[in-house]
Amino acid sequence: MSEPLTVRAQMLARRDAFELELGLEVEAGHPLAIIGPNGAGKSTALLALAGVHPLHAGRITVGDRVLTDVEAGIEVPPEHRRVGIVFQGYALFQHLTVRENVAFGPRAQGRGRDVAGALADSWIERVGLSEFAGRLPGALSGGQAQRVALARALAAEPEVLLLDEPLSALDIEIRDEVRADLARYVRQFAGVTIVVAHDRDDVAALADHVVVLERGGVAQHGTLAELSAAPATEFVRRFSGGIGEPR
Amino acid sequence: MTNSHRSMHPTSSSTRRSLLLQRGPSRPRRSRVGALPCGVVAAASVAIALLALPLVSLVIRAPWGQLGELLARASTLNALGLSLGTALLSTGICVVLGIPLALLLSRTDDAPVIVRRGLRALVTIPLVLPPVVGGVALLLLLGRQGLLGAPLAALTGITIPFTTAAVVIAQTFVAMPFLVLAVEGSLRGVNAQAAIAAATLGASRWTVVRRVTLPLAAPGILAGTVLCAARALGEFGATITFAGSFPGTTQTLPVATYLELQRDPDAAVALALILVAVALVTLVSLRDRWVSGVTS
Repeated sequence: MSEPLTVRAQMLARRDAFELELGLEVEAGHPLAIIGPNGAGKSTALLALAGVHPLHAGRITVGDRVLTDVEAGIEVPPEHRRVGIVFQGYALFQHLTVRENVAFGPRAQGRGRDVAGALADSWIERVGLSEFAGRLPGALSGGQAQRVALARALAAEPEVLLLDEPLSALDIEIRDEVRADLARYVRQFAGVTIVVAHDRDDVAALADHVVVLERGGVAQHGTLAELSAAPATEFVRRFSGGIGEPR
Repeated sequence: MTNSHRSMHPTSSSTRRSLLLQRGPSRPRRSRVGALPCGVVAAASVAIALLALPLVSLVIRAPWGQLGELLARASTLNALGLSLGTALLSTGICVVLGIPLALLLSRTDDAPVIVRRGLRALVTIPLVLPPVVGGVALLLLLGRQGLLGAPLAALTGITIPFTTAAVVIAQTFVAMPFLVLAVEGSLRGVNAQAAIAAATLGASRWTVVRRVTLPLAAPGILAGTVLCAARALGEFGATITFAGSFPGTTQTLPVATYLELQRDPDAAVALALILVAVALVTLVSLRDRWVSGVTS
């Protein structure tokens, strides 16, 4: 048996005066959370993994596949990386029905209308939204929209799933329930999961390991328990203490 | 990028509730016009009269009795047919070329300032340039001695000025900015993350544009197209300069209206009424959409 699917990334990305330097190694079945103060480079890291934000230097591999290798001039475009993303605001296609949203990936990858529709239906059923398949995203609640975004990403059969603050846009009353559902789907996902979060409960539910990004670099990494036991920075100390992200 | 989507937090339910409360029936009425100083109201009234009275006189003095006969004239029908045909064609050209230009403009944020400003100025020039100047410029480019016109005539024997093709080119030149600016504004309102999500799902650049970006910008595209068609249909200055006024080939409705004013004022008014009707249809079909489409 070969090793589980693994994402390895050494990333140096620049945006204006900001510089992000981040190394990651994430195995399938052991989701990673990236936490850190606003502006630390968390979303930039996700966009770089997705091939949307160019790297200045570095290398990203998924299993044997090289997605980015700046030195070798390799830059696989987003549509061929098999890296899916769920944004905080979900970014659903507002002009398409729930079924069309979820069928979008299979369709874009060349599946026929019927096959893509059937795939979409099965994913929509799995996230419990069958009765909403014909609705437009505007008619959905926040929790439902998030599940559609997740189903849409998973229907494209990614090897890597990126979640950018997937629970932050939700009202506090429904957050616990949606978090539990999301954690279940993430744990069932066979690929590599990387989630950006800023809530301790979200991290505990969704991830096994944590990388702390501060000012574009890794401040600490480990499990939540390790972070709590020996916080390396003020941010980590507050995060572990449950006081939450300093704002 | 990192922070841009933070602004898209849906309003939390508590904020939403308080907004709803403010909109409740017990809310005091808006301040009335009477609260404005008299001078402001007086100036505004003059402005309203200035805008409304010319149209009112047009309607009052229109030769309603002979309208049927005037509109059924061959010359009228010729001008109307020519106007509709050329405007349709130039609007089509504006859509086919203008939407790509709008897409390009909407992605120039990373380009050097000089490129960005230069492109925008170029697109906006026909809006602020007197159309007759546009006509002269087109003559200097495509005329028999023009920059492109001279080699074109020498090589193929084709001359463009004073043909129906010249009418279409003149209309395209003046109407293009309306389409481009409306579509660009609309494209900038489209959630950039939707396009990113589409790409990560496996969609090629072309698919992303065709199936996500443009459909999401559809309201702006519709508004821009209607505005562009209205502008093309009303084009006068560049047309008469670059294409002349040959009945049947280059004499569009606005040109015919102007020329008839000297020969047969009643006929001119009848033609003008057609153009007013077109303008009204445009306004009704856009309602408040054009403001958001063009200015957003």
